[in-house]
Amino acid sequence: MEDKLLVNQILGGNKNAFMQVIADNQKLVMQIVYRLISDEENRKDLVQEIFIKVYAGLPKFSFQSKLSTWIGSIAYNHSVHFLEKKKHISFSELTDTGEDEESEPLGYNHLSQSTPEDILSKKLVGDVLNREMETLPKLSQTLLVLYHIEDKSYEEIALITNLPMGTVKSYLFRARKQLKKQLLSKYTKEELWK
Amino acid sequence: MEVKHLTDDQIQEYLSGSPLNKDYLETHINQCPKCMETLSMYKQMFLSFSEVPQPIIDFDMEVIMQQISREQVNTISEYLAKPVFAGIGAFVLMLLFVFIFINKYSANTQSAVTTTIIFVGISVGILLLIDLVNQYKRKYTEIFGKQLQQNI
Repeated sequence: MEDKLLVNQILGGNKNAFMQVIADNQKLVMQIVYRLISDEENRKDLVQEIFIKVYAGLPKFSFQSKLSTWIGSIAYNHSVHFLEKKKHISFSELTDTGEDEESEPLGYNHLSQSTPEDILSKKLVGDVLNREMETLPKLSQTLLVLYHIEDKSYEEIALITNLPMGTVKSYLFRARKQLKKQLLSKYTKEELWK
Repeated sequence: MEVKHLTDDQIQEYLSGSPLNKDYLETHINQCPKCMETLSMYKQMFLSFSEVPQPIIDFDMEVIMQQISREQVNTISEYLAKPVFAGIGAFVLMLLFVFIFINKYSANTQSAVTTTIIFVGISVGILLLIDLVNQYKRKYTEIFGKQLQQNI
């Protein structure tokens, strides 16, 4: 449904329209929160807070971007704000690899005990890629999923993260190069993509 | 002669969009097995992103909907409270207006002008109040009418 129509319905008090917005954007919000926040309980609270914030901010939404881009920017800013508040983390730390002890790779625990051979024999190339991605800085992970999984353009990512488009591009180039390097240090191309 | 290979950035740019020097990059890649190999690696990697598992965060939809209902009630109360306060204000002003004039001119015989002013003042006040009550009713119907429609 068109953004304007949906927003007008929500502003008119239609709760089903808001549930539609949640359904359409929960994947994007979860990707951002998951990549930026390590603790599972905090992730859950943050997703809820983000959608409540979206609802409260809708009367001020000016349609200068897609609704999903605007929601993505709320998710990103709210998560970064949470990190700054709780851990006094700075932007530079967001771009560091900084492995977090609290980190709980939700849904990927089954990989922790596996050897590279096990993983590859199961042809879980997506899992391998994900595991390598998780060693990258939080910001790089977020940019990669926004571009490659959520299909956002450079311009949209710049709006979501409030970073200049050139910076987004250069972080993405660096992240992919690092990812390629890590993958090739552990596997051959044939092992990864038979 | 030493071959100058393309950088990773150039190959990524070639793969992910419309680079300015597309023809040059294409010609080079077609002639250079090493750059072709790098391109193929990135291509596979780009494709594999679709196989990265989607994270699941088990958030509670109920919590969100309850919270927004609470916010909706607060907003409605604020919205409706405005005409009520304005009405009370108009009524108090009207009373003050009448009180001042009656007090000032009660000693004298009420002149035609004073009576007219009091009459006009009271009339304007009443009209203002009626208008505010109508506005209030309209907003009430606007909000609760829509909610009623949805419930149905």
